[in-house]
Amino acid sequence: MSTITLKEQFNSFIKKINPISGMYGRAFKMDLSPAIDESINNILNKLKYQISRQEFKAVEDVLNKNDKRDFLTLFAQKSMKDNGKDLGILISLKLATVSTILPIKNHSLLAKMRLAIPLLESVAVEELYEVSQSKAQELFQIFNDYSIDADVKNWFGDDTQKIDAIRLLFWSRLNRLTKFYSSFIDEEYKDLFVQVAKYQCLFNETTAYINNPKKSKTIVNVIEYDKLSSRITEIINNLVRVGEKYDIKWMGEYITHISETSERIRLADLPPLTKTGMISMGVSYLLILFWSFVILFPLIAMILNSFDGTRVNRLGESPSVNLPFYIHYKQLFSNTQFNSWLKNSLFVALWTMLIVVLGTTTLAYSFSRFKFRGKKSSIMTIMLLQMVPSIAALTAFLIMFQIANVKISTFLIIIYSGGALTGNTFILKGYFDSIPVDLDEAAKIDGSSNIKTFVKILIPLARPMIALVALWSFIGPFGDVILPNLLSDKTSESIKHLTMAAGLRTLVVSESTGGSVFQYEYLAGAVITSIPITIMFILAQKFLVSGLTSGAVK
Amino acid sequence: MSLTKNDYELAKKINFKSRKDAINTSIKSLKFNNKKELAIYLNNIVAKINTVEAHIEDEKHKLGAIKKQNSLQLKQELQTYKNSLQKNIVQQKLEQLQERQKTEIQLAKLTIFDVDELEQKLNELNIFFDSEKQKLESEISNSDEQNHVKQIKEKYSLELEQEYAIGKQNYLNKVRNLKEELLELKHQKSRMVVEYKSIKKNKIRLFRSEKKSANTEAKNAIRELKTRSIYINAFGDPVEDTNVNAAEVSTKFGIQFQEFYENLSVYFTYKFLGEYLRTDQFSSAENESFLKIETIYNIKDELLSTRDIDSVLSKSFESNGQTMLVRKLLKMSKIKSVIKMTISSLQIQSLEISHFRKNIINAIASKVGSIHYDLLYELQPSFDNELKKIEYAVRADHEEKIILKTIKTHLDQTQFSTANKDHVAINNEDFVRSFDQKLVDIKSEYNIEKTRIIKDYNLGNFSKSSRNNSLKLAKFNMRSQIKELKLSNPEKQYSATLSYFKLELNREIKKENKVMFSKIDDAQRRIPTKCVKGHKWYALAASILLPGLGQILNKQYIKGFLLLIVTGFIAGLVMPIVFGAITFKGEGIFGLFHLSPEINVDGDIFYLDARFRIIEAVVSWLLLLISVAIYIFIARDSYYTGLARENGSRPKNSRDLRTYMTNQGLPLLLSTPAFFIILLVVVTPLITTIMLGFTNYGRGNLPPGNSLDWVGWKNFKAIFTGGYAESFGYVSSWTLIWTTTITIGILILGSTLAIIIDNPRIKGKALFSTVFILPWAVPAFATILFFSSAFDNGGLINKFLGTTTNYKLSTNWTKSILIMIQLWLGHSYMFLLMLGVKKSISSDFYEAASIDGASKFMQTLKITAPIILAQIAPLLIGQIVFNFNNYGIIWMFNDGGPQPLKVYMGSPGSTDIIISLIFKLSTSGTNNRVALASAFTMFVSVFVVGVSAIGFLRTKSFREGGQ
Repeated sequence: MSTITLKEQFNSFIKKINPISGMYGRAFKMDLSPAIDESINNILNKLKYQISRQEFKAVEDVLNKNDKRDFLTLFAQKSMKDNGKDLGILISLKLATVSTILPIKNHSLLAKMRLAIPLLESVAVEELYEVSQSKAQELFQIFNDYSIDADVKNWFGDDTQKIDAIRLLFWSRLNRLTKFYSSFIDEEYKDLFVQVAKYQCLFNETTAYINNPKKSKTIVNVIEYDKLSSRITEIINNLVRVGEKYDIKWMGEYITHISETSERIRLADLPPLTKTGMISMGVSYLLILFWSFVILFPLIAMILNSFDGTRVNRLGESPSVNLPFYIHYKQLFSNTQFNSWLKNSLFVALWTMLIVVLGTTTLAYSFSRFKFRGKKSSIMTIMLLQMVPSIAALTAFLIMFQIANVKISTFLIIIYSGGALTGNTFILKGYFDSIPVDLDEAAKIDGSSNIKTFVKILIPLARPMIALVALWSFIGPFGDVILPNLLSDKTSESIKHLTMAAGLRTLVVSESTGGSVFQYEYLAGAVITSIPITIMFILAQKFLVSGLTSGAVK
Repeated sequence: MSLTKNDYELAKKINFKSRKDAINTSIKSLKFNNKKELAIYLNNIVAKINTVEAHIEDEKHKLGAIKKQNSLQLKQELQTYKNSLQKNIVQQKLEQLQERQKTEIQLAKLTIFDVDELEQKLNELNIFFDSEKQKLESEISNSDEQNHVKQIKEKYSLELEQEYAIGKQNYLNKVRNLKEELLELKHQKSRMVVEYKSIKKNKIRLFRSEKKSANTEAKNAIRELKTRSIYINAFGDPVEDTNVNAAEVSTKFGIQFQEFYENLSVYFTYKFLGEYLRTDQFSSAENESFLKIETIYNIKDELLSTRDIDSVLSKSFESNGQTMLVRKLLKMSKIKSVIKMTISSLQIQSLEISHFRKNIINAIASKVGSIHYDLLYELQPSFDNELKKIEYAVRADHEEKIILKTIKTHLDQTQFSTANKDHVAINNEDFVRSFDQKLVDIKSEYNIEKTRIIKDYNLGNFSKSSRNNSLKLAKFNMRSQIKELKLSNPEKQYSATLSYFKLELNREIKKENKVMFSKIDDAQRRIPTKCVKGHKWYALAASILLPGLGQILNKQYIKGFLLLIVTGFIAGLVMPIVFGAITFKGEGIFGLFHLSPEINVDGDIFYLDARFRIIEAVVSWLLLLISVAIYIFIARDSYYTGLARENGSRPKNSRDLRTYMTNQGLPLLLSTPAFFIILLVVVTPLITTIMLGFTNYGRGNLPPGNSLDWVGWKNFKAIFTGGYAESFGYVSSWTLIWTTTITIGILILGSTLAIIIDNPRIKGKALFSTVFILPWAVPAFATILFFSSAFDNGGLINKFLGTTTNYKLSTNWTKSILIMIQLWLGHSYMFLLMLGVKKSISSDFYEAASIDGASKFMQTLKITAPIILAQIAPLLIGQIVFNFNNYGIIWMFNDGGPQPLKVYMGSPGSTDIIISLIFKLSTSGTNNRVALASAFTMFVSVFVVGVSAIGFLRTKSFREGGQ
């Protein structure tokens, strides 16, 4: 049981990663009753140990490939009266008719059929024998009859002479078989049953021709295609007429079942690929796979190197020690100020996030929903101020920091939040603008105040964008090196007050030439810091695109 | 020439004015003289009082001296006694005894040789001396020395007390006399003042009445003139008749008018009692309105006299038989309703009055042509009363409504609960019994549905997305069914209905409140107010004197109070900072004028830190500007409110303030904190940098310790001439290459990747796009520093490739590696952006193009590329600016290195861009030229802001923002 489910899982997995799967669906509408399938399987299982492997393989192939849609068996199943003995008759019918289908597309199957046909015939007779002995004997005689039927000769009049003998032989056998089996089914369907057999023969020919007009060895070479198709439509019309006459409910479904030209229907909207399309797809895949490698290689190298226990200080130095792989992480926590950097960064980032979110939402709301004097000019002013390069303020920040005489982290909160306010306000304002004002007005008509409208309607609607602003203002302080590095005076006491990025930099760059560096510890710290930030970033990816385009793009 | 109308008027006016002036001057002189006399007199009295008080003080001193002397005597006597105490004598004796003991023991030691004997002798001696000692000690303890002291003290204290008592008695007597004198003087003074005031009052009243009479006379004269002018208008100008008497004119037309006018004012003063009413002078309509008022008064009296309403009401309520609470409420409501009815009658009456008044004014207006100001003035006193009446009526009505609603809700609630309680209890049991079963049913139904869908999918009957959607739908259906089931709990429904009653009541009360306030506000708007003429000037003056006072004068108390707090804050904290009283190493706004004052400590000269002074001055100037703006705003506001009040409108109250603050004023309230943060963090540093550009801050005279000076445009000149121009030129070429290569590179990379990923045939889109944004998602410092250390000599890259190239010493290698790293880092942004834009392009374009036979390549070229380029053009400009400013990577990778062969001024490295050179100049220790860097920053900023502004002006948010 478990192996079967495992196999199914494996198959579904293969299906999933296959780019073409999911584009096609099964075309056939009807199925044989599961009991038939089951008993055929049982018969095959029994056969397995009685015949040679080669023979069994042939039987299996013939059954699998030749008769997929069960033209005749299905018809018999639907039209039989006598339910008690159905199963044996149907099985024998199925096995008997399978041996009479000429494999036009796949000629190599003919060799296999030579092996399989006697076996199939004997089983068919056996199955029928259990139902009625006389009938089984009759069937046995039919199987041994290799003459060409008169009915078949009349199918195409004079043109029949042009058709090769094998085809005529196969058709004759089928004709005889259907006539034989029609004795089991209801009176009104008997005529149709024979016609369906004919239909099957013609249909196989036409589909083979349509699928490959030039190479196929079909009777279209000797008989015009139009003639064939007119015969086919004739039979279909007969089916329809009889169905209407006796009010047969399954007839419509059966007609669609037998008239599908291929066993699978194309579900995808896209047209099938051309050759150039295939090549360009291949190139595209190669390109993006290559680029993925380019992106992932350094990142994976970072992670792998951080777990290198054989080296101590510099990246790429020759291995000198043999320490456990986690040693750099351990030393990061025990020998460096990583804990205090993390604490400082979290402190700065959280406060910055809080201030920025509060400031930007209120500012953006004011600018988006109110009209007041000097609105345009203030937008312009703030926007222009934002464009001034950050370098312009560095010296002044340094002086201000010396005056203020506060901790680095406190000062950083003020600077970061002030800097982030101007830019993010306009992204958020753009997002607020995209929320229709009608919503506000509807709320106001229902008696909501401005503040309530803001809190209960605009903020929930703009939540993705606000989350994005919050995320950015949270990540920002983790990545900034310049400002904390500038503010610190490089003493060990002030190194303790740095934030993450600037702190980790002290592990890579020694201020004095020839000083010791801890690049492996740096990698450990970088990995620890980057993973949560990267995950947050990727989770926010969905909103990133809308955030980038809504505020800025016209 | 005949006397024209204007001449006549002018003459009258002059006459009136001169009389008025005379009266005013006489009042002034009277005031002055009386004041002078009184002042002299009062001065005398005060002098006397002072002398008396001085006397009292002297006496106090004397008494103190006596006390002091006595205590001194006591002390001296005690000292002498102590000296002669027995204790000392005993002690001397003891000492003598000890000496004797010593000598005797020595003697014994010398004389006696037998040990035992000596011991015995010594013991004897010891015992003897000990007994002697004890005797002496007992003597000390037994002596009645302390009794002695006590006696002496008692003796002295008796004497002292006697003496002191006498002294005190004397003192008290004297003081009492003096105090009586003082009191008399004070009485005199107050009497004088009262007398003076009464005199003044009388006189002023006299003059005022005279003034008034003069005024009325003048008014009469003017009125006469007016009647005359009306006459002239009506009957034409009497050309020849120069002696036309105004009185004569008034007999024809004016008397009627004048008398009517007088009677009208009398009428209003007597509260519309039609005693002096002369019905024959009014039209029939006016008569009717007068009569109406009388009837209203009658009805009101009747209403007030009856108590029947109460009983009627109570009967009607008691018949229902409610709980105690309801009864209490009913009682209240009865009282309220009575009040309300009387009040409403008053209200009706006042409305009638106003209607009537309107009629009269219309009548007068039709006769005179325009409404006379004085007439309105006479009518005004009733306005405020009317407003009060309306307000009271509205409030009473409101309260009654609320009470009735509460009662109704209560009744509904009780009715509902009595009707449904049992029903709910029975139903609830059933529900609880069947709940679990139903829940299981719903869940099993869902499971069946789920398996069916999955089976269908596995058969290949439908696609994956439709499977997911149907699963989602099935889940949603199940959840909604469960929710519905839970809500169908009768108990829950019952309690929900009950709580709904409360909610409804609250909502109703809120609504009523709103209606009440809107009615009151409406009445306030409708009924004019009165105030002193020229009020706006008083308000303005008050607000100029003390911002916020004007608002209080305008009866805007809450606003005034808040503004006073703001004023206090500004005056108490901001102004001291601005003018340098509270400083942080600076001098307020004056810091700009003396950049580095020198201070002399012990012969050494130090300079105050100019940087701190500049930055504090910048902040101070900004604060000063804001304070002045607030000051002007407050003054302006009080002036305009005063003006509005003069025109008869009521000042805005606290409700109006609240409405303003939650509507138009909200952005002001919301953006103020953010505004201040921006001012502090963005504007202040910017101005400071500009200031520093005009100083000589740099190597050689770095503060602290050195002086800074203003040097004008010298730094700007240095950029374009001399050694620095050369080094900036050297840096600029690499900056240009850097910016353009990166921008174009990421544009190509990002758009290629985006177009590939956007292809619907590509599988694993989510995975690939996640990988492609990784360089952006991973913090840049982490990767840059990793690359930097990996490219070290003997680093990871050399190890990996097996080479020994020193990348960081080769200019070309460093440049190309920098570009590659930045491409690696920056393309993710462009990729994501392109993907978003590409998705937003309608597929109709492509369909139309493919129908017309365009190939995929042509579609990309003619549809995708133009649309994307047009859309991301502003962002591309942003990218250019970003890369221009991106000195972080250059600094982190190799600090601008390697050094070029030729040494330029400021020692720029061969990979330094303009901004990183500025960074070096302003932060490095050895090449510090902050002033020059600031000047150059300004120059670059103008360029950068200009370029970015072009991009910004194209954006949607700007163009929509201004509307």
